[in-house]
Amino acid sequence: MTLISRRGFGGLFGTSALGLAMPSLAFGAVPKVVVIGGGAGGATAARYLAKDSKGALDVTLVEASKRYYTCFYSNLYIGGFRKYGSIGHNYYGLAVNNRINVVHEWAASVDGAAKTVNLASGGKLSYDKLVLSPGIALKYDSIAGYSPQAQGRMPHGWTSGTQAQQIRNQVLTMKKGGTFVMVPPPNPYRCPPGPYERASMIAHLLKERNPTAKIIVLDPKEKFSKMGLFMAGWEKHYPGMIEWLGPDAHGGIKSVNHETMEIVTDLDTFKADAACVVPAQRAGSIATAAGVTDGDWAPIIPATMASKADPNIHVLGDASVASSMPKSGFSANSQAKVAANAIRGELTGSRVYKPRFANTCWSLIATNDGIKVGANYKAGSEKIDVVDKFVSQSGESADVRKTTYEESIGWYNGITTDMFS
Amino acid sequence: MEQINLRPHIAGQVRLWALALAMMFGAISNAAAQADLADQIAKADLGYGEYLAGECAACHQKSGKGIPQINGIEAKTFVAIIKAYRSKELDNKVMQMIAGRLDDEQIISLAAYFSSLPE
Ligand SMILES: Cc1cc2nc3c(=O)[nH]c(=O)nc-3n(C[C@H](O)[C@H](O)[C@H](O)COP(=O)(O)OP(=O)(O)OC[C@H]3O[C@@H](n4cnc5c(N)ncnc54)[C@H](O)[C@@H]3O)c2cc1C
Repeated sequence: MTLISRRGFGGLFGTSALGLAMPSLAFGAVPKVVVIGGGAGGATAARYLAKDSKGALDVTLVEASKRYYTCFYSNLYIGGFRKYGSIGHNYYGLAVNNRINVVHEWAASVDGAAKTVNLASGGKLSYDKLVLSPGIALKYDSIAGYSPQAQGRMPHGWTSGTQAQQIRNQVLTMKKGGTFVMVPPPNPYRCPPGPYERASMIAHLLKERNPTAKIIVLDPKEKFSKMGLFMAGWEKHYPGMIEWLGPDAHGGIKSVNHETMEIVTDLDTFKADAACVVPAQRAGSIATAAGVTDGDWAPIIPATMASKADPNIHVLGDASVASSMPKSGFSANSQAKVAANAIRGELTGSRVYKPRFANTCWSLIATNDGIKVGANYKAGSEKIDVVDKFVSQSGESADVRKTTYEESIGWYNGITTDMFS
Repeated sequence: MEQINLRPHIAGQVRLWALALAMMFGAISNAAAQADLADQIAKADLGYGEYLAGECAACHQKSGKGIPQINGIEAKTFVAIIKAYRSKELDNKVMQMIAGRLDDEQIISLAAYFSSLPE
């Protein structure tokens, strides 16, 4: 049995294994957990905390939006494989089925000493444990000329919402034989295969409607996730349409201009009819405000996802430094369950099991041509370490690729149910 | 391989399951082994199974399409299928990896948990 006794965590959890109330909690009080961010990490954490504690925890979820549009599958929306409405999810299930107090507000700051969260609207929430899963913030200034203003004509589509609609619309209205320029972000960023799945989906759309158009990918990186598989897929489905240029070929991205639609690199200037520019990223701003970031991201203790800076704050998903795990919705969902188990153990004395993490990222290259990459992980003392991994092979049969795509549909239904039901 | 009617809602979702069932009859052919498995499942730690099931829940849900739903699955079927993925007799990279790090006790706990759920 791999049950870890709470003592077994070597003093991380200071209370008795019998699960008597924490000394800091008033007798009979229901411990409070506040979760900030109702995305892949936060919605899952709130749901598992509430569902598994069966009323023994008071769970509040602070989420700015009333509807969460997943970034996962937003590329399939761009390619025409999904309707936009089908990737939107509300918080009804969390509020009603799981009795989570869902607060649709923006969290402005955290007072770690007082254990309170200040809402932008002026309200205040107190907590025994705080979970942060705010996703990413964009570093607009990582590309000269890029800004919230520029994203209207050069959308990033890297956070949830209308940006993905903007990109699809640009592709649909692009002039015949025009050029789409895509600038992927530098490492580390959310969803490593995402930019290349996006290029594939744009090519899919153009092949149907504007077959003489071109896509130029100006990558700040020398290589990327599932590179061989994507390149082979582009050659097969969209011959001559996608040109990928690494830093060796363009010399580095210098600046962009959304008025002239130019992307300037060290060696050349590219004129775009439509463009997608994804800047560098950092943890969502509330992580910085809470004082748990070191540089751009929040370091964590692998076994519990607790912040290295504040033991009462757990950081999940894209905002955390989860070392070997990629920043993905699957990873965030997996980390949320580890954190929920640890938090519940600490606050209610429930059993804490050995942490296990997993991730799989599916990508669609063309109709029924799905690929995947995945790994499972364990909590090392310093890092989350890989146990085992796999990746789709080049030259797989059409049947295998179709099954892989169908599996991704199952995963999408699965994870969104696991987050929101 | 002909499709065996597991349960109306499961059958038809994944043809591989029929293969797994066939293998199961090979693997657990004698009554003693079956009784032993039933005994282990009866004694299994449901709470542990529920915790481990979190890993499955990211993909396996009632709404499943492309991925079978496993709530209410018969325990011995579950055990046979997971062991077949673990030994790579069943072919799916994700499932081979997931099953690859499950020991026998964990498989039993999961089987006990999923078989206890309503379909
Ligand atoms: C194009 C694209 C494709 C992708 N495809 C996949 C895929 O196929 N598979 C996969 O696993 N992952 C995929 N991802 C990655 C995935 O979307 C992220 O890794 C995942 O959403 C991270 O979860 P999170 O909880 O860290 O953040 P998010 O899911 O972004 O959730 C953060 C939430 O917090 C809220 N929030 C932030 N700050 C505050 C605040 N101060 N107050 C109140 N609310 C706040 C936000 O509104 C948001 O809803 C993709 C991403 C992109 C961009």
